[in-house]
Amino acid sequence: MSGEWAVWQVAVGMALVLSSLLLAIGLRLERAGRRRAEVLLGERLRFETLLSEQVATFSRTSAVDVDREIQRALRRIADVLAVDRGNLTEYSDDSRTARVTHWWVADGVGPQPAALGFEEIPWVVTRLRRGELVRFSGLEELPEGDAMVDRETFRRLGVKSQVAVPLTVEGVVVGALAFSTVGTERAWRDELVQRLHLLGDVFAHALSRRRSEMEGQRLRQDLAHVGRVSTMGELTASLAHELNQPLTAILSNAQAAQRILASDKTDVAEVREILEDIVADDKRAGEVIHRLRGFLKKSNIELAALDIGELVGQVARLASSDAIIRSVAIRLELAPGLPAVCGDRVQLQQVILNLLMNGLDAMRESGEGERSLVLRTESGGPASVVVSVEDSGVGIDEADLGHVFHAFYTTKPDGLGMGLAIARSIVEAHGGHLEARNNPGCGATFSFTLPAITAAT
Amino acid sequence: MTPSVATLVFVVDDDASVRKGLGRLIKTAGYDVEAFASVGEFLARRPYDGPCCLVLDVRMPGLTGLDLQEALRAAGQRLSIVFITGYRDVPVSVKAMKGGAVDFLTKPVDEKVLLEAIRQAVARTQADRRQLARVAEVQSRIKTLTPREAGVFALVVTGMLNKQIGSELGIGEKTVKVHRARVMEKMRAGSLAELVRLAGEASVIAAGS
Repeated sequence: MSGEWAVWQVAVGMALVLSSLLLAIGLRLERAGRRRAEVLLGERLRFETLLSEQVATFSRTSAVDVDREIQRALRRIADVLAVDRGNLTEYSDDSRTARVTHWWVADGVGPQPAALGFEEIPWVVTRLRRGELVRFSGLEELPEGDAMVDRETFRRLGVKSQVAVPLTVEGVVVGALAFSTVGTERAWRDELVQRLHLLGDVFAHALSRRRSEMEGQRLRQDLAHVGRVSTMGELTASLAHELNQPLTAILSNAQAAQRILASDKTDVAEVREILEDIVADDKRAGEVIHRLRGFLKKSNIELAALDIGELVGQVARLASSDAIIRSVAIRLELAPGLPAVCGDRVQLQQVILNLLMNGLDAMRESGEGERSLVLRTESGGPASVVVSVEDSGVGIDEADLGHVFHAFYTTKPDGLGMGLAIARSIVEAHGGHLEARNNPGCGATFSFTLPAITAAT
Repeated sequence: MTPSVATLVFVVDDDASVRKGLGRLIKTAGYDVEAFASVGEFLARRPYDGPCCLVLDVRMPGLTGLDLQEALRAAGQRLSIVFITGYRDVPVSVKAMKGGAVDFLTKPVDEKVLLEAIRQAVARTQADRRQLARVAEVQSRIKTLTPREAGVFALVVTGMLNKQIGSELGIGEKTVKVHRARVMEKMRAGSLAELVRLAGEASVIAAGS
């Protein structure tokens, strides 16, 4: 009878051991499950946080900083997802070409390949272009027949897993956001992928906003350029004169030198002196042309710290011949010690020149002794500088005071009416304000403020 | 064709390089040159009696070239002007020529054109001055005539006969003849024709009565 009990004991013992083992395993599994759930939750939380942060960031990002933000976002996402590569590809308008515009690669991983086009990953591209996302954890997940080329490409590049979401703006696919692993496989959880899709939208909108802002900026620059060219057209008489002076001197000097050399008492020292003067005048003429070219060039905005007094002086010099023709005395009242302003030299010169030329025009009907134009710079407070152009001309009709800065407002029969509108948009782009008022006596004053560069900026 | 050493060309232009260059060129042609940066500076200089002319820019800050032309004319100064300008300015050029300028040249100005204009201007200044001196001389002769002699002179040059002159002035024919002889003497005229010419030079308008 002890044999049977012993077996039963062993059986119970074994059952106990087994069950406690099972319990232990069960508990451990449960704990592991909890831990895994915790890990998953943590991961998801991080991603959600990342997502909402990015949405907030992009909504305040200016066009200039979009690229930098995208770059940063890619890195952070890649970090959270624990992937090896992340990139943003933009499609051309005609969808013929793709270009990798931003990418991030983990240390030790091979470089990001250039944009993979239709030839290399036809199946993936087709799906993305249709607005469908692509995800695979292993190459075997890609359909054998249709994605045969894709599989081969990925194998060649060492890509093991990838998730790619299309970026759409108003129903048009403008690019794709992709993350991939190299060497190891990775699973993509649905909710993560969904979130990625959302993030893709944020990227897409930031990019499209950037594109339209740059478009707008280009248009403004084109318009500003047109404004400069037409202002220059008005100045041609005085420009021809400015060039004629050195040219006259050069011709006379050269012909004098020829005569000296032809005579029997040639003074080499004098001829040398003449040549020096010719060279100097040549440079002078070159400088006039250079200044004009600089002014007329269709340039991109170049910001620099500028001395506003110097700028005003340069513009006054540019227009001095014209002022002489019109018998106008230009007076400069430049306050000393003004802080520098941050801006584009050419554009600010354009504004000042435009106001100056308008002032000259306003005095066309005035008597010759009564034409005066004052260019003034002064402080507008601790952090701003004021530039004003005051004329003694006909003044502005009270009724028109509100309209002068509108596009197409002009008092000239052949005027474009764009000068002041462009001037105002330039000033505002610099963070300033342009306004006009009639003088207590006669004539009008146009003045604009510009923020000064202070120690704090 | 070397002009006399004492021929002076004045250059007035607000641009220093232009003054220097033109000055050099004109000097190589044998002239003396004095350059001024403004009309004001030039007017401060004493008038020059020797052969001279003026090379003058039009548009300058302050008084313009046309202002100077006007000022010289008002002062009765005979100084021929060659205008040079950097602007293509038709109304100004017309005004300048009507005001008696020798020429109106545009910058940059070639030596041949400039030196020819200067040559003409110098000659014109001389001719004008001689003319002026001549008129002054004749007028000074006229001043030496007594009132009666002046009256006779005025009528003789109209072609009146002595008898007519006599009845006109209420004096005898013989008296007329005496006055007439005195006039010829004082006016240093050898014939009636010469007397008439002198009268013309001095712009004597024969009195009607």
